[in-house]
Amino acid sequence: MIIRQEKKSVDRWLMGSVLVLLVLGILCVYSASTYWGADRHGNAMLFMRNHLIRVVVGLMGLVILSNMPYYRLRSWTPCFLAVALTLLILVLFLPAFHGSRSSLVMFGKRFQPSEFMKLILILYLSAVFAKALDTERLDSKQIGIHFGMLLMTVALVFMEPDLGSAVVLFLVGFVLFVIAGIEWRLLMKMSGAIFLILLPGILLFKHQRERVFAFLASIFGKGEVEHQARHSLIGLARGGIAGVGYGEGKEKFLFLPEPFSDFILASLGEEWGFIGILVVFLGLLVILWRGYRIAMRAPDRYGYLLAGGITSMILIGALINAAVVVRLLPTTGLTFPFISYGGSSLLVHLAAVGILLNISKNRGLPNTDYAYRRHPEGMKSAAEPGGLSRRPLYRGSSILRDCGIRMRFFESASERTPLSLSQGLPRALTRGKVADINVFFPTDRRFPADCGWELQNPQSGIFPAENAALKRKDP
Amino acid sequence: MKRLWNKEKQPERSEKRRLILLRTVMTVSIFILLIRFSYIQVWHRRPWLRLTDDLYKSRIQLTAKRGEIFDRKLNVLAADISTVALSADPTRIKDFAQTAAKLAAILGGKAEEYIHLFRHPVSPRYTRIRKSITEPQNRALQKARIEGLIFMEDMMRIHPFADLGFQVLGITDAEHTGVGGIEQVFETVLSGQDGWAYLQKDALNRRFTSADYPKEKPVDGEKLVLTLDYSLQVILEEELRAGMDRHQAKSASGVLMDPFTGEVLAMASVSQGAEKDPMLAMQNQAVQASFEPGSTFKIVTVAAALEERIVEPQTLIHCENGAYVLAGQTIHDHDKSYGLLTVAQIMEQSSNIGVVKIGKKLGKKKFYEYIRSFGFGNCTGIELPGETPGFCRPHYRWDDFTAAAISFGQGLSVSTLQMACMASVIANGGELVRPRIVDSILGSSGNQIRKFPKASIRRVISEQTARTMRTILEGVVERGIAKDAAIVSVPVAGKTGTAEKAVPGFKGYQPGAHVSSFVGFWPSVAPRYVLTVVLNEPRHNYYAAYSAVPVFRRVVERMCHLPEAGWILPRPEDRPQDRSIVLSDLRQEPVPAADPGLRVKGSPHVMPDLRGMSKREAMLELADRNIEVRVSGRGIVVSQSIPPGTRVKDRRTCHLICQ
Repeated sequence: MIIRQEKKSVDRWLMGSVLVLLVLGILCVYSASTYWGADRHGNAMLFMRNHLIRVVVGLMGLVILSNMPYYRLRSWTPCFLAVALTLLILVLFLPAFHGSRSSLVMFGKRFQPSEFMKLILILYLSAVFAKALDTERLDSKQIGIHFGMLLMTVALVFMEPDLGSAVVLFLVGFVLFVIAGIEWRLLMKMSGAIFLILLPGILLFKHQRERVFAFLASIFGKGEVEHQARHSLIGLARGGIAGVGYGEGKEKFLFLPEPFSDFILASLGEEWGFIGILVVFLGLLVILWRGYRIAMRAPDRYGYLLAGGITSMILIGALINAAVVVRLLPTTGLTFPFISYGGSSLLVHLAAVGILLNISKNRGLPNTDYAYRRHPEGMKSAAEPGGLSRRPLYRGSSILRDCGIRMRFFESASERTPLSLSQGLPRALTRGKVADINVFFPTDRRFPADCGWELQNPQSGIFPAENAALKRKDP
Repeated sequence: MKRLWNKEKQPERSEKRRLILLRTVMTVSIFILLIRFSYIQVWHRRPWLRLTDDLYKSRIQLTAKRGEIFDRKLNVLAADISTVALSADPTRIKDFAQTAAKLAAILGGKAEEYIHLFRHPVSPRYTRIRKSITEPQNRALQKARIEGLIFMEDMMRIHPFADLGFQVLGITDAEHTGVGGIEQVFETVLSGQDGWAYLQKDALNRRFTSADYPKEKPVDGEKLVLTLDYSLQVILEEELRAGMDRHQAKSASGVLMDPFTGEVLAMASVSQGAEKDPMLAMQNQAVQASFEPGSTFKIVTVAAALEERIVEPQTLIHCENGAYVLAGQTIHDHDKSYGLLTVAQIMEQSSNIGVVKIGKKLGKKKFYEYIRSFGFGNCTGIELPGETPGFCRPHYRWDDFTAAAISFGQGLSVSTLQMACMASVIANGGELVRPRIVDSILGSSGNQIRKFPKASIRRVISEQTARTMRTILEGVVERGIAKDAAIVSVPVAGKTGTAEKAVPGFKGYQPGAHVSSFVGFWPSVAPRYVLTVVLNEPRHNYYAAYSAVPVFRRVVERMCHLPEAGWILPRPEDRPQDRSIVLSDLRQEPVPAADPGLRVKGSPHVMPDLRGMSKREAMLELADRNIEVRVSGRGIVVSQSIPPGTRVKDRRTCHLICQ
């Protein structure tokens, strides 16, 4: 049998569609923001400059995250979560900006913790669900705890008050409950609960209440379509099929509120017409297709949940924003991923795509991280000379599983000399036919001098050395 | 054996099914949204597009440059300059006090005035600050970047000679439309065609230019050349004002015209208290007001009688020693009483009784015909608005006393201009010409579009009678009542008139209210100018001899001191041949047909004004002259190498340019 190294690269379809959306976004932000910037801030290029800087920073984050093994995020998740929750609580005590306390100034930049919270919530829920599911079935008590956690973050965002972000945050969290395979019965209960909590909440806050009522009134034809939504529809209608032409849009002359962030689709629809909208939705469909594909082929459950959650997060944000633009939902103040102006949202979404791309690199791969988790004490001890290589072993990729080769580890090499990964493994296994086989190992882990591992012979299906000692230890 | 790596770590089938379900939900949502987008953008655009009609643009007018008005020497009397009008939108001014202080620093004035303007805008978002600002002010304001100011390019009418002749010229209102005078009558010629453009509008209704919309450039108005002469107008206005002030008259008016062509060289009207009353100031007393002429009208009576050969200049008439009873009423001569006087002496002494007797001999019907024939009771047809025809009852409504009163100029009303026209008849040899004030219309490039020719209305009296009248009127100035009008350098002829003023709406006359006038022309033998001066209600020394005559004399003297030695116009025989037209008679009753021989023949040695003629006409005109013609271009003659009026003795070549 010939085993060939398959060079796994990032998912090009996904990356390509994200880049297309980014470019569209830059063009649209430029066209829509110049008048606004010149009028409000005396600088036509202000928003464009900010946007470009954020795109560059976001792309840098994307590259870094796509080259960092996603499971390392697992160990940082508690840290992320703590910081994010602290910030969410902190913003509640800060003065309001644009009628809401949703943003926070740090290092001279304004951040929206609720945007970051979305990604961190996905990281957190994926980690806890993956851990629980790997060992045993989730019981309803655990589910209750995690759901409580979700509700708490949603409540914090809701109190800013930022209804839109709270709803999105809840939906993103809920998606993870769904794809983690929680029973439908429990899911129904949970959605019922959130409804009972949200309804009085909406009625409590004047700002939200008015918005929702105005929307309902306009839906049933009794009220005026509010200014924002009306101009959004006018802009789209002006665009027609082919659009009025790039830069020729008129709605950006302060008619459209937020023509380059919340209502960028209206600006885009005006200048590029239905064709432009089609391109955007085509991009979304590609993200949907590739994102869920990456989730399906994730090497492990953590990757599966993470990829599913991230893809859903992107789509939920995009769909809600688009629904607001075409007046299917009341105004929420949410941005369109990758296109809209808005630093936090852009950074978070690009980072999320970075993680997604990294999962795509590892598609179809057994993850030795499990080994570490099963035998932490052994792996944590320092490796001795002559033992397994201390070099980073995670780099590269393997198609072991695809070839039907299995690999196993043993903690003691008393009956067998362990192979040096750097020298012995490839030759021993393939007799020089495979250029490079690397095995996934956590980078910074050290191995006991006598720990070992072996590979199954593809032909015979047996492992070269059955370890008696290991046998004994296993229950 | 427990395997360290196994399938358990992979998501299970049931979990993956959830993902597939989620993917389906998302895909369906995307397509629902796409359908919604296509509904709004493709299938159901109309209702939304209907809302956008005037949302983004606003139409503005691009004011056409109104044509200039020139005097006969092409001095600019009125012209348009482009200017910047400054307004403000008070709702966009954050700090009234600060903005007002900045404006006061740049534009001058007090800050409080500007604050008042901001507080009391015309409409909530608009208040006019300055109709026009200067270029340096504009630059300073642009630089100061004051929020809420609106700069609008506009056209402004300027008059380089301030309000010189402004009742004649008229003014323009806020919409740049002519009001009064030439501006009103020639509105369509001067105004040009306004253009338009669209401005981009933003949601706050602020406007700025945009290249996205079509626009139409304005077409500038055509220019007018008047027959007025700037220097003569100045003299007439100054002297009338001085005379008015000297005699504390209510108002004064005067017309100076060329008796042969009817060109009005100066027309002035001054009123007491005009500074306070703009309506009064606008009134052109010379054509819009009528008055009872008094003794000046005796010219008509005597000229008619002479023409009808009822009297000769030497005919003796008894003047009843100063009191003549007619139809139960006594007619008095002014201060003195006369016995037998010749007709000429009657005029010199201005004897009412003598003239009444002459008028009586003439007969009512004949007399009335002559009155109408001299142009009274009709508008003169000058190109000015609101002209009064005067008032004269038809002869069958006259009783004997009315007829007598009319013969010395009471009981009918005339305008200053009509008096000037009447004097022109005497001065030019018996022909009534239409007075005119507009000489020609020039196109935007200065080419002549239209020339207004001389217009003869009819022959009123014969050359012989006119000559006799000139001699009589010369005598009036030399020996008679208007001695003060005599000037050493120029022989002047004319007649004074001091009329009582009727009480408006009642029969009878106001005690102490008079209209003093003088109608004269000079040089008396070969007249070139006719001047009428009318003072309305002069106090102390109200007699025309002491009030109107000095004004007349001062004007003539000053004209003689002009660099051109007073001879603005060429002598009649040197005048280029005018293409005169004959107007249809406007009177109700039949009058003698106009004499076709009236056409003033141009001298063969003088270059005629060919401009405005067709090529053919020009060639014909030059046919019997010692001039060789070369023509370039086709159409109307716009330029000639030998200026009109030039004496051409040797054979010369004239180059004509046609367009």
